[in-house]
This record gives sequence, C-alpha cells and structure tokens, in this order.
Amino acid sequence: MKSPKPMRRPDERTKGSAALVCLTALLPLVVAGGTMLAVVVRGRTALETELAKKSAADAASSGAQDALAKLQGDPDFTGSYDVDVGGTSARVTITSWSDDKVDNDELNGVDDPGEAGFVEIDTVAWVNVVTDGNGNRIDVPSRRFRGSADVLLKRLDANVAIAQSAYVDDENSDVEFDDAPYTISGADTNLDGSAGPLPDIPGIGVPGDPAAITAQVAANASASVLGSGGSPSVVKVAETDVLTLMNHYLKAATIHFNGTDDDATGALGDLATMTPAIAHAHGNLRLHGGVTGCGMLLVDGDLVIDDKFDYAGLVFARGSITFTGEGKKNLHGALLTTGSILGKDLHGGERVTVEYSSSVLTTVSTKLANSYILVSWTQR
Amino acid sequence: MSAPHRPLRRLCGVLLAGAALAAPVRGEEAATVPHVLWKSGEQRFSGWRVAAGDDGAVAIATDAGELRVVAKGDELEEIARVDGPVSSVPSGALARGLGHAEEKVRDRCQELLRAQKELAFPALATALEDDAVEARRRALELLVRLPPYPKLTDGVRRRLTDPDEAVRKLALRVYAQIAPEDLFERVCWVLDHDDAPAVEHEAIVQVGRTKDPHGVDVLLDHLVDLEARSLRVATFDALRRLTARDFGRDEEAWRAFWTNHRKEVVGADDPPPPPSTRKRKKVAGR
Repeated sequence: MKSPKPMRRPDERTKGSAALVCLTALLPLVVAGGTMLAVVVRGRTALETELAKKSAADAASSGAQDALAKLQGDPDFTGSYDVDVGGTSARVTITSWSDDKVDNDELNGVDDPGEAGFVEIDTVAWVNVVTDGNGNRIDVPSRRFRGSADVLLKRLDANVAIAQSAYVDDENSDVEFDDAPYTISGADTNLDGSAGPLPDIPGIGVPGDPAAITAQVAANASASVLGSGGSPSVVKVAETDVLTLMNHYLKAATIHFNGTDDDATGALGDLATMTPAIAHAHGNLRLHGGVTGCGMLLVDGDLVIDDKFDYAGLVFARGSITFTGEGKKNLHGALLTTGSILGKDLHGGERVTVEYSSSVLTTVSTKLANSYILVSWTQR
Repeated sequence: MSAPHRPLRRLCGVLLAGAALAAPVRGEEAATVPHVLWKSGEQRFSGWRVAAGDDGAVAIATDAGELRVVAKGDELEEIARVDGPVSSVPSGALARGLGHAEEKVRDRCQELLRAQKELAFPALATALEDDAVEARRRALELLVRLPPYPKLTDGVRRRLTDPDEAVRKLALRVYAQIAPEDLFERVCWVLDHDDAPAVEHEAIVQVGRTKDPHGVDVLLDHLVDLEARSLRVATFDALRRLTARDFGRDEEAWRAFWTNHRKEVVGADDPPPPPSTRKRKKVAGR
C-alpha cells in the first residue's frame, strides 16, 4: 500500500512567490537609494572642496589687500610676513623688482631700468595645513587646499613736465573771459606769493598757431597773461599728450565722481597740509561752495569752477574749463585742457588767477610718488 | 565868461538835465554818459558824448539818433552838460559807430551797446546789415554775450554766408545760441561748404553741441579727409559729447563703435547719409 504523499499546506507556495516578488521590487529601490546617497555624498564633498578652495583664495586675496595697505603706510616696504585671515594663514611677500636680482620682465637683464618702480606682491594661503611652532608645514595626510594672489604694482611717477602755466591743446579754442579780470602767469610763484626758484615759462602754451588766442587775450583790457615769450605771453609749445597723461593718472585716483554730470564741494586733498589726492570725474564736474584742494583734478568732461576756489596742483580737463560766479579763484600749479578756458558771469570783480608754481608741483609729485598704480592682479 | 551868458548857460543846463533824466530808465544801469549841449560855430545841438578820437575829433550820439563826428578844427564848445543813464543814449547812433574809422569810437560804441543789454537788439539788427565788416563783426560779438533773441534769426542766418570769416564764425555761434529749428541742418551745411578753418572748427563744435546723434554720421564723414590737428581734436571732442563715450583720438575705434551701435542709437529705419559731395571733390582733386 502506497504511503500517502505528505500534503503541502496550500499557502506555502504562495509565500515563496510573494517573497520573490518583494525582493525583486526592493532591489531597484536599494540600488536607487544607494545611487542617490553616493551622489549626495559626492556633492557634499565637492562643496566642501569648493568652500575650502574659496577660503584659501579669499585668504590669499586678503593677504594681498593687507600688503597694499602696508605699502600705503610704508611705500618702501619689502619682505615677508604672515597674515591671519579668519583662522587661515596667508604668507605675504613684497618684492621690489628693481633690486631683487631677478630678470622679472625677461628683458635687458637683471634689475634693468625697465624694472624700476615695479613692486610685486605674492600671497599664498593654505587650508587644512598643520604647521609647527615656526610656521613650517608638517607633512601629514590631509586634503590641503592652496590659494594664491600675484599682484603687480607700479609706483606713480607724478612728475609732469610743465612748459606753460595753462596748456590749451586746440589752437582754435577760446580763452575768453567777457572782459572780466584774470591772470594766467608763467612766473614761478610759491604758494605764499613769493618768487619761486625757476625762470619764467609761458603763460599760455598752444601746440599750434597762437594768433587766435593772443587776439582774444589782447581784446580784454582786464586780462593779464604773463610769462616768457612776449606780451601777452601766448606761445607755441610742443604738443603734450593730455589724454594719455589723464589716462595714466586716473588709475591712481582716490576720489571719484562717477556720474555724467556731478557736483562737488569741500576738499579735494588737503591744501593746508599739502597732502595731495587724485580726484577723477568720469563726466562733467561743477565745483561750488568754496572748494579747496591739493593734488590732481582729472575731469573727463567740462569743468565748471563756481564760487571760491583755492587749489594747489594740476588740473586736467578733457572738455572746457569755465570760471563763474562770485569769489576768488586761485590755481597754484598749472592746468591743461583740450578745450577752452572761459570766464562767464563772474561777479564781484574778483580776479581769476592761474599761476605756475614749481614748488607746488614738486611737492605734489613727490607726495604722490608714494602712490601705486595697479598693473595686474592674478588670483588662483 | 560874460555876465549875460551865465543865466543862459544855467537855463540850458537845467533844460538839458531835464531832457537827460526825463528819459525812462530802461533796465539795470551800469554807467552814465555825459549829455551835452554843444555849440559848433553858429549851430547848437545836444547829444551824448561817446568818444574822443586820437585826432581830437569828438563822436557824439545826437538826440536825433545820428552819430556825428565833429573834427577838432570845428571849434566845438560845451555849453552845458549833465550825466545821463546809458540806456538813454540812442542805440541806432551807437550801432552806426560800430563801423567807424576810429578804433576808439568803435570800441566805445560797442562798450555802450553792451551796457544797454537787451535794449540794443533793434540797433544790432541794423548793424548786422551794415556795409562795414567791423560793424557786423562787433554786432555779433555783442549778440554772443546777450541772451538769445529769436527775432534776429533771419539776420544772423544771412551772416552765415558773410564774405568775412570772423563774421561767419560768430554768426554760427549766435545762431546756435538762438537754436532755431533748422540749426542742425544749417550747421551741417556750413561744415560741408565752408573751408575757413575757424568757421569749420566752430561748425564742428556746434555739431557736437546739438545733441543730435545724426551728428556722428556727419562728423565721421567729415573726418575722412581731415588733416588739420585742431579740427581733428575738436571732432573727437564733439563725438564724445554726442555719444557720451570716449575713444580718445582713435579714429578707427570711433568708426568701429558707430558701425556696431548706430542702429541702437538712431534706429534701424534710419540709414546713414551718403558721403558729402564736398569730400568727393576733395578726394578727386588730390
């Protein structure tokens, strides 16, 4: 007699199938979850890396900024030092190209005259670096990040060769004051009014035929254009590249007027202490309310000098220069314009005076020579 | 002086002062001028002493509005005088003096007209048509310094083609101050037709001040055959004023900028004008 086959319980087969279905269904989920986790982890790692790199770059940049500030206080500083920037240390090295025994420009040998005036700032900052007590890096396995900034500066040469008190770049421009009194003098005069050390230069210089301007000056009985080369002293002179000079000096400007038509009042540099500043107007500029100043005033448009004005240094204008309103207007130094020099609606009978002053120009150029122009800034 | 003459002189003085001061004061008075009762030979007349020439002659703006110059030999005698406001001096007589042979007289007449300010406008309109170049030039010099007076537009426009270069230059400046509707066309016409450097320079300056961007087309076209340094300097300055951009004196940079941005500034439907005929003539003449 056949023994009876053991009977399977009816739900056993169903359970196995269900488990198989479950496993099959879970597998993609597990794979997807794992993938997502990997992506998130990778993204986080990349972000951390990016932040660390940025932190290093920022530290290097801050180190370079610190070096610029240091050079402002001590323009002759060279050497290395560390700057702590939010827990990240940056190593700053300031080198003068003129005496670093390196052919920096790869032209004409080591420390040639072409390298004079250039100063290089190298800054390196590390993140995740352990140092010993002397600042030396300890070589330990860690994810290190490096940031650097290489800055090249050139010392400002503010020594402008002045051959006349007022340079008018266009011979057909006007020097017209509507019969109001004015003096443009090429006689070297100190700020206190005493005679300066240098011989007279022309009052007005024109790089062309001075006849038209001479006639305008002569027609005004109250005009006084003094200096070498005749009376009135309006003389043909060598061309001065006013635009190039302006483009050079505006890089060192510390006072900016960014509008197309700006107004200014107050001080542009310190006249009392003869502390110069370079002011740059990107458009037309109107001075009013008794402006005083020292340094260089660069105007890309028309300059209007209203009310009282007392300034020591150089005034450049790409357009015309107009004196107007009440009050004494004195410029000690020189002015250069590509347009006209005008006097309009001058009230009160006060004389406009532009007088050459070699001592003022020397002081301004000497003090501005402590400024630097940014040549390049490379960040890595 | 004989005794019977004294009361007569006093009476004349009183009458003269009355005549001088009775004139209404027009505008702000900056100066006074002697109003005099004159005697020349048997003739008596009153007028304003304008100037004395180098030769001893005296220029008088008579009350009748004439400029009378009495020579030294004519035994001119002052009977009475009183100072009156400059505004009472007849402007017509002064305007006629702008073209006088004596420079002192011309200068003094110009000075007095200037002091009269806006009151001088009618007389200056006459002076613009004077045969003497000096009178036309001085009239325009005065107009440059006075507020714009639109009634003079036609007279000033005629002076844009004056035979004298200085007059044309000043006329262009005054015309720009008046700013009539056809200013841009006129200035461009002058730029295209006038070869005098001073006038050409003024035209370039005025194109730059019209604030019409079409001026860039005109200036760049004009720049093609332009060699005079002063005119080129003025052109680049005018381009800067018109565009509020600055490419210095780099002609190619200016042309490149205008090629790339002309449509944005003047509109796509506004094609550039054809090159000026003047330029073609010049090039052909080389």
